Amino acid sequence: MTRADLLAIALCAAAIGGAFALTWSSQAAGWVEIRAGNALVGRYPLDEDRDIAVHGRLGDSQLRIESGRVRFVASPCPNKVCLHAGWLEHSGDTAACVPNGVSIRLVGTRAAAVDAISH
Amino acid sequence: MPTVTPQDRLIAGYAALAVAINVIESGFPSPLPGVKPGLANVVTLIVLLRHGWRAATAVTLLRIVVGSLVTGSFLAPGFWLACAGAGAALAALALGASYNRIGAHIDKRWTLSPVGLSTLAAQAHICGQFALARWLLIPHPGLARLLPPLLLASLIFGIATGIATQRVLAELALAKSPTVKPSQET
Repeated sequence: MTRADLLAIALCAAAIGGAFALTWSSQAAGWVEIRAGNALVGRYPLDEDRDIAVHGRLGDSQLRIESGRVRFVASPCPNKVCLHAGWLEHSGDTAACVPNGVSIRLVGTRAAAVDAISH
Repeated sequence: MPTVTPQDRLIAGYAALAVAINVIESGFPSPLPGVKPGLANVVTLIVLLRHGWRAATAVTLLRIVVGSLVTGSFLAPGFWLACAGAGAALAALALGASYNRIGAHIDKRWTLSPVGLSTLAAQAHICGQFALARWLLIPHPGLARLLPPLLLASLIFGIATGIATQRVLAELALAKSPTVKPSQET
């Protein structure tokens, strides 16, 4: 091992550290996009707390934005899968009330997280 | 009639060795797609350092083509990934070797040993593969999250194969020297 080796290894390690910081730090999302049916019905910033009612096939789904997160708080569906999705806060997170045709998706400035890795 | 030169035999021998290592390695389980030790690069490095970059390129090309024929991935995505990785790694090795040629005149302590060369080649290998994967095979921004862990694995394996290369080179130097093992000479 020479000095140049150590320098090369140190530079590579630093670059990898930087790459981890860029891609793996949890990314706060900027906005929530709300869809009803096939249409985009709203886009709200996550830094302002508010309640939103979204009109769907069965009735109104209630969404709540609070401290940079968003969730379904009520929906006129039988199984409440959307409510069980809980709070969403990372860019790329999604929740949907399929019976009511309402879905939300968080978007941020950075790349969305990987959905899955297959071999 | 084409004649077979000693150089051809040399390259064929090294390539056969590299293919054997490649095939054995492809049977190893891996926690992440794309992560493997890359021990065949020991052969590439040794050929580069002892016989120059032309021979190293020939051995690498033969290894990829023959290795993929044996494992059944010829012209499959993995084959193109291997090509992209090998191209980038060879480019890094060529750069490192020319840096060493210049550096040797100035200060020997700042030249790259096989460990440094192997580290840089391994990183370049991942970057080349990743560039191809990102632009052609899986053009999705989320793929970027795979890069840092792959780079980390390749840093570790690059250092490891570099150390292995150094050991093999030392053994080869011993085997070649008649003063060290006179009993072997007949």
